[in-house]
Amino acid sequence: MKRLIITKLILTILITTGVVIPSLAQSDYEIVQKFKQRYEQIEKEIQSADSLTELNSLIVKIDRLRNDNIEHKALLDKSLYPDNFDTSLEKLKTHLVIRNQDFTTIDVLQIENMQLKEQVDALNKRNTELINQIQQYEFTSKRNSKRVAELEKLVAQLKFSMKRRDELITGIVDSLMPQLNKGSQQLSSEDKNNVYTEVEKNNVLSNVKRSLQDNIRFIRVTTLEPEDLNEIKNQQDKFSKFWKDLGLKLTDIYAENNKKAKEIKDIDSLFSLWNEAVTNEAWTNIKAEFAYNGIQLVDFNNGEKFTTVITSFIDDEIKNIGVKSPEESEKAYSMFSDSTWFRVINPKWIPYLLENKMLTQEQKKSIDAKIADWNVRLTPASFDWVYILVALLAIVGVGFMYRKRTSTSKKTPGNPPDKS
Amino acid sequence: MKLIKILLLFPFIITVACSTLTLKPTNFAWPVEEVLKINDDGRVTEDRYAIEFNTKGIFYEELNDSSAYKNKELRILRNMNGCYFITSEQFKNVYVFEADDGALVLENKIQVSETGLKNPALNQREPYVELIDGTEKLLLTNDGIYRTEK
Repeated sequence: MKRLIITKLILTILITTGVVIPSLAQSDYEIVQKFKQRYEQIEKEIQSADSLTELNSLIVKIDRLRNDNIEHKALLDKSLYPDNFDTSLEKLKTHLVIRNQDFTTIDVLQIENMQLKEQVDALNKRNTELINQIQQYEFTSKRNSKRVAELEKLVAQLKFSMKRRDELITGIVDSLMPQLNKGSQQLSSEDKNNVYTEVEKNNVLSNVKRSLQDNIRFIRVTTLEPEDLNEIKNQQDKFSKFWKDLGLKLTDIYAENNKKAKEIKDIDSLFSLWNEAVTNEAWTNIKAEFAYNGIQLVDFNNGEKFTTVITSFIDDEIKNIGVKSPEESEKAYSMFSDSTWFRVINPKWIPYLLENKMLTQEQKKSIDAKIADWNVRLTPASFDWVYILVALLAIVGVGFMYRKRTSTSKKTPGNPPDKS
Repeated sequence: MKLIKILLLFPFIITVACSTLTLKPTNFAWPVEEVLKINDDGRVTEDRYAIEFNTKGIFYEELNDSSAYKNKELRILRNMNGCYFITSEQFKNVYVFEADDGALVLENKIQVSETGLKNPALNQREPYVELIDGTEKLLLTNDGIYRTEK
């Protein structure tokens, strides 16, 4: 019985290995085609490999392809035109090496990205703390020089920290979404899926939103100088450009997701608010400079309104000349012109306003002319006293001369007699 | 006598001077057969060796039906002498063609099967062309079957 089983087993093996049945004659064409098919299969697997392990397993497949076909090398050398057996396998290995580099780069980028994400989170937290601290300082005392120094230090720290965070966000997007750098080309659905996954994984939208909100809050809680605003404008331009590229593509990607599409719209609105905040900051600070010197002006938020407010303030003051005491009028002019306009506004803010097209040269000239007019109208009132004084002095002088002459005539009663 | 010798040499000199330049040996052999899909018009195109021809005639010759080419493939291999060996499924013959002025001219029609080939393939086995069909193997030349192997 045992023997029978063994015999059957041997027969089965012989049949399956083709020893008993005469083997089918092999077509050269088939050999070449099979080689090409296996080659293409490996090539596809190299491209679609998801991990280094998977990729490394393909080295074995390439070796097997070589070993299985080495006996047909002569045929394949001639048939794999323009390649040959060896160059074809070399090509596969080159593909493998290149793909391997992709994985190494992706690994490095993923590690970098994780670190970037951690840094962004830490910076988000730090920025909130700094903004809160600054807000407290702004509310307490601005007159205390020690506090002011501390405040300035905090603002500098916050500025640096926010800039770094924005750079990190753009860095994350750049490193993980090479698909977005395809210029104006339409994104394929695969690209869209990849971008979608990466955007979600890295909280790109909420980070951009957070960054914009912090930037707006920073402007609101701090009092910024024109240089600071220029710096913010530059940062704003860069960030806006980044968002312009990203936002358009994301709008396309999130076209079917209402919630996300709304978030993108929110970000667009935040950009407008940020722009508005920077513009308003300049006008608010200019108004605060006047208020600091006791000049209360009506609100203004553009060059035209600014010119109108300043002009009507000066017109009022001119009207009040003679109504107010001269000292009061003089003081108002001095505080407006000497302490505010020529000391702070003209050297510090006017160049910023002109450079950023918030004020035109004509508007500036009209304000300058108005101030000069105010000055002229104040001056004659001051000089009246001088004229009166000079006139009095002249009268006194003439009177004095007359009296002196009269008294001299009395001492010499007649002319000496004529001797001839 | 001298004049006779010169006269005898004259035709030889003329023959040598007028003969066509020939480059020998030349090997026309393709390393592997081409399996060509026939298009709707009955034409096949081979890209690597840049040959294109109409197959309707061969199908009419083989199956008496010039439209029988539809959905068929043609197997073609050029041997070292420059002859094209052509066959296909259900063919009983292998056709040997020579290239001529804008045409393939039949040189030989070799009968290889009684019932028609089931799964034919042509291999280059210089100086022969090997025809295989299942387990059957035939070595062919321009003139016919050189040897049958099983």
